[in-house]
Amino acid sequence: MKSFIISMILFACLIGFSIFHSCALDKITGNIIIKNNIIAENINDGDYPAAGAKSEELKKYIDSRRTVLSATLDHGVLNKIDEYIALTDGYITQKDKIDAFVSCKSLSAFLENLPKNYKLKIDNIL
Amino acid sequence: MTGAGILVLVIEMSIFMIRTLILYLIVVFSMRLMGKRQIGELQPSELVVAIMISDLAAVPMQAIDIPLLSGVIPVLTLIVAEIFMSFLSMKSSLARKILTGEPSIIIYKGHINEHEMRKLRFDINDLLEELRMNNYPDISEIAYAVLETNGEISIIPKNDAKNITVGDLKNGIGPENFPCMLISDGILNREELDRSGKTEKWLMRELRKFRVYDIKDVFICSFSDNKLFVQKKGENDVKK
Repeated sequence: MKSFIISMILFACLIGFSIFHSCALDKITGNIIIKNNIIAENINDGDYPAAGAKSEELKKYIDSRRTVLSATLDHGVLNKIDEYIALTDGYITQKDKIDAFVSCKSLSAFLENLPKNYKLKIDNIL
Repeated sequence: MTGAGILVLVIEMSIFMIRTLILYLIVVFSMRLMGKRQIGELQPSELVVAIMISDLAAVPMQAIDIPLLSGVIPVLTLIVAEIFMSFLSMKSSLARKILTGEPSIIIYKGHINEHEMRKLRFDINDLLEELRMNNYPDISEIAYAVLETNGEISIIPKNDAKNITVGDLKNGIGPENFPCMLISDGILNREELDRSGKTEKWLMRELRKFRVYDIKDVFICSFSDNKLFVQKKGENDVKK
């Protein structure tokens, strides 16, 4: 009976964690996408200093959420995000509008697809 | 290499050690949670769970770019599922029948049940092999043989082939008997009752001698050698 009660508590924790994970991942990736889209707009407008500042802000935001992201995402995915941001930074510094914009948009597209893989859907289960 | 360099290397390697230790503790905790039954012979579902847990725990141990939780959560999910299934098997005979199956009587009163063996895809050579491994090379010595749900064979030999017990010396040797489990956890087993050749009326009359008035109050009731063994639920449980 003790094992059964402990397993029910574990089950409740697993469900709770799954909900937390889903919501947290949605919120964090949503915020990253919003900040990234602002950077894309700045790049499009040719405002490289603002884009650079926003990019720094984005890096700080990701660093502050790194533990949560590391606990739930493959570390390769995190490395990919860092890679995209570094690329965008590099192009912003060189004032290379097209490449910076493409790199920025690639990150947004990558992040938009990310939380979908963790949603409770038949496609993901299969 | 300098001392600082070696220290850095050791710290980096420690990641593997720490992850391995964490997963090891979780697997040990899980096996303990599943109970002492796991340490002995395994049922099919328990064997599946044990194999899956070891495979699941090994993946994040080897690959540090995979989050630890991707090993921990499946292991804990399996534990919860296994404990729930065990609990269900305990409470429902139908669930137990579906999940773990039922023991099959292959030899009954010295006669081999061919139909049962065909149903189990159990060859006569398999049977003889199991009997030999249980130190009964002569099939004519066997009164009853049961193929248990974990694949083991339980044997009740004929009187001529079995060891003498203190009971045999005191009371004499009776005919071979396969005990009938009439009541199990408050549920009457009609098949076993029919096999014993007794009726429900007879059973209730006998239970009253043990001051039992409802079948639901009986934890176990078995009939063997014309003797009834009854234990009521919660009777004389030794609490630590």
